[in-house]
Amino acid sequence: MVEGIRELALRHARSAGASRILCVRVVIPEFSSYLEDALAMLWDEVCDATEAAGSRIDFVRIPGELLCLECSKSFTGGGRDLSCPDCGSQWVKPISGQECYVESIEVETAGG
Amino acid sequence: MTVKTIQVSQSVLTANCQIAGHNRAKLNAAGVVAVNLMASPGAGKTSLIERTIQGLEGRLRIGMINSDTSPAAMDAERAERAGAVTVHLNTAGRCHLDAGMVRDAMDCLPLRDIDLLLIENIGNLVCPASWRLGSHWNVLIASTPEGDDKPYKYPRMYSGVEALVINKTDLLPYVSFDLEYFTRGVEALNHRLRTFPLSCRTGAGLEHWFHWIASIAVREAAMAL
Repeated sequence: MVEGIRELALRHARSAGASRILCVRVVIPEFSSYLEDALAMLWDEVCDATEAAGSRIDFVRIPGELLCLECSKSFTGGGRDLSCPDCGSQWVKPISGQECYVESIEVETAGG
Repeated sequence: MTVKTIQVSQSVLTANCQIAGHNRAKLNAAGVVAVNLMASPGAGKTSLIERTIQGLEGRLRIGMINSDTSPAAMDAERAERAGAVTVHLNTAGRCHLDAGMVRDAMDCLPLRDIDLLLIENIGNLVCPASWRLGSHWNVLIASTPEGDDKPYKYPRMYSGVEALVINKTDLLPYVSFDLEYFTRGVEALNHRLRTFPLSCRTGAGLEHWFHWIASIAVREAAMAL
């Protein structure tokens, strides 16, 4: 997972002719099963000896969308128990907000 | 030096999906149909694999990738004894298989001598659902002692598979498992799912499962030609 983030960042940095990556911004949706702390902890290690060495990894949390399987309403939020705001059912499933992605990278390039 | 921001907007799993695509192409070229078997620990993955190898003996040549989080190879040995060419994959603590691990394990198998590749994932109902391996079919094995609430608690796993085995049906009289409640949860998430209630212990329902596995192996192999 962390290597996947690094590979995406390196590929985009190289194709832009960047010499160094300063920061990688990763979007972690509400229903993805990834832990920021775990990713951050491994970041320095996997970036060692690459153009991303010494870079920062930032996380952006976004809400996910749920579908109520009882009344078919889709909604975000839903409180702590994720229950449907309309009918109160807890029989819900995530329909978006599961896929983690790299939003952008900040790089240093030679020249102006 | 200039600092600039580059928009990427690409899934972190892109790299995994690419490798999964290569795995699929390699399987197709060798005429192998791969089935990714996922389940919680203790649902009966190895028992079903053992039964499947024995049940299809003489009909299909079976290979197996057995994964565990430790070097303990007893499951791989069971599959090998049952007659499958087996690779034991130690994930060293990782809680799911990814496409890269499967690629490396496939390199250790004589794919040209195999018709059906069974991939036994790590016992876990969360992470394996997110990682595509390149398999043609993704199968979930549920078991009655786990309880009937699992589709409600692990919707992503139940949404992301094409077939469902309900193992240990012989225990239905003894455990709290409302099949109607379970089925209602499954159908709401994935109404196209093929379901195989069976018991690896008594053998009930296994013929139906064997028939399906044999039919997909033949069909996929024909499509890959």
